[in-house]
Amino acid sequence: MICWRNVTVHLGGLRILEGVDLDVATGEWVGLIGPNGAGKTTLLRAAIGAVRPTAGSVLIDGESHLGSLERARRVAWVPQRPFAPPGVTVFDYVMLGRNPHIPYFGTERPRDVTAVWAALSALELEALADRDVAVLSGGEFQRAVLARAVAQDAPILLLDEPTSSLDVGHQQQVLGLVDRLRSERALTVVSALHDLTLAAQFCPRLVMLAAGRVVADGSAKDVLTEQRLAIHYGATVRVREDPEAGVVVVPVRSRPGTSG
Amino acid sequence: MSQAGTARLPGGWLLAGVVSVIGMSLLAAATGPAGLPPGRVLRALLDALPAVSVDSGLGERELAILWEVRLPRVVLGLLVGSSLATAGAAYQGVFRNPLADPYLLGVAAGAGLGATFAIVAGHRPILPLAAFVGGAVAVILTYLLGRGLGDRTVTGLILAGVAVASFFAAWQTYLQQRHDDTLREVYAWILGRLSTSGWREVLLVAPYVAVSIVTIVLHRRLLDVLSVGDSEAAGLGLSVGRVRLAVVAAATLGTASAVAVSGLIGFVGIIVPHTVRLAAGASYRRVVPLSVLFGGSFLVAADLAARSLLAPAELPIGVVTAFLGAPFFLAVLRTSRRVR
Repeated sequence: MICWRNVTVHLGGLRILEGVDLDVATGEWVGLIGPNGAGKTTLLRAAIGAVRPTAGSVLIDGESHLGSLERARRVAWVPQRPFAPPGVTVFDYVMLGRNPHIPYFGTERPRDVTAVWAALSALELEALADRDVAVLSGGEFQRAVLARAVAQDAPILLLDEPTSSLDVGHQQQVLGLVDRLRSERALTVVSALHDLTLAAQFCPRLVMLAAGRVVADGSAKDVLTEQRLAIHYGATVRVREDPEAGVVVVPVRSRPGTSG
Repeated sequence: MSQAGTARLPGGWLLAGVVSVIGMSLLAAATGPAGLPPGRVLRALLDALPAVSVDSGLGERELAILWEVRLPRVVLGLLVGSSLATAGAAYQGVFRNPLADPYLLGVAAGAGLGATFAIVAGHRPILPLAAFVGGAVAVILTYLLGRGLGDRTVTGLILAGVAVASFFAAWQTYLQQRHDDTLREVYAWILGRLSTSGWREVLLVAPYVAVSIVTIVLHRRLLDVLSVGDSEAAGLGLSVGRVRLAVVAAATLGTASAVAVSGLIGFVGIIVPHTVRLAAGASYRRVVPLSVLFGGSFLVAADLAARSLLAPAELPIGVVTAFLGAPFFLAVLRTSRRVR
């Protein structure tokens, strides 16, 4: 369980988040949506201690002052643009996720190796175990990053735009894997997502941020309205309901002289 | 499913490193104006082990040369080479920059200033201490200034290092100009040289070098975690600032001690870690231990070349490491590119 309590963050003199309250229950999958610069990344980074809130706190299982190792045992984070260190194999890269479980000056033990193979298997990466991460395709590397987070064996998974660099097929594949992991391992997932239609399909609950505040919180049908997307995204869209695809957000090209 | 990853140091590489250290040490101990056969040198060393007794076949005078002249110099070479190579690997890991070398944060400039002080003041015996203090002060200054500059990134630290190094170098140049009678001596120190008077220098630096190397070796896995960058490493539970401080402090201790007794020997801290990285793999769990071993044998080899190429004259060892090391390094780079 993870709760943001009245979290305000200033970065470089700018207010990025203002009094954000958000409770995510164990086993939930929350999709974090909102325009660029709304504060989605900062909200996630506040939860892993990478940015310090000016006010408020983030509670992980009810605790606000976890040490970095203890926090990493409970929260795994997949950044928006993860770095692929050259010369490191997929296996060793995923093993980095075991860091919070390996003694400080020690090396991996058999159970860490087992956890890494389980993570590789969960993301269908066994065949690539010996491959250099720097030469993987975008979709393969994204899976390797997810495998690292899975190996971390933390009950809470924070994903920052896990599909932003992928084509539509790989977006579906990665989000499908996340959904499977969530049900198999009873994970709590909070993921920032750009694609609103995909967010509506995979996340039972959507939270919309705009200008550092929560502006909507609920099911896709409640949150994704044409009016709201016009106000906060400045976007001209049609929201449709499809019997198979669910809530679908379709951009409409606005032409000069016609009102959107 | 092949072997589990590549991070672990394979036994074969460890053995190769140990063999290179022993082999190069024997060769260097055996070579010189008075030739001592390597087999006899080996027997003399075995004889010195507790509970082992073998007849080395060396005379009393030869044994004195071996124990009081050759071996101290070989051991000093091992210590200095290991120290510089390991510190280089540590800096490259901590700053995630392949061009980082042990002198990055101002050790060289600080030690140079300290040594120049000692020489122009006519206090030759305190030179190692002065160089050590100068190097350490420069890095501490860099660290304090850099933290104020660039909060959570390493850029501030590196820029502070550039500023501190220029400042100390300018001060040293000024001192040198004021006392140009000692110019030659200062210059000779800068070029680097392994000179020993018995075991004094070895005993002087061995404790510091040992602490430095052990600390860096202990951090080798954590340097791998750091390779994904500060914020991801923090997300994996690493206290990035604490690891960086411990490793930089250890590397500085080793470098400042090495520089104090041998002057500014360049290139070892770059060439050795990169060569073992290209040969054995990028993980610091391989690079660090192998830099300890091959750094030592590389510098003993360079010193052997420095004192035999133009014998009885002696070349500055820094000239040898660069003059022979640079082409060797380029050859390694070329072959590794072709393989991949």
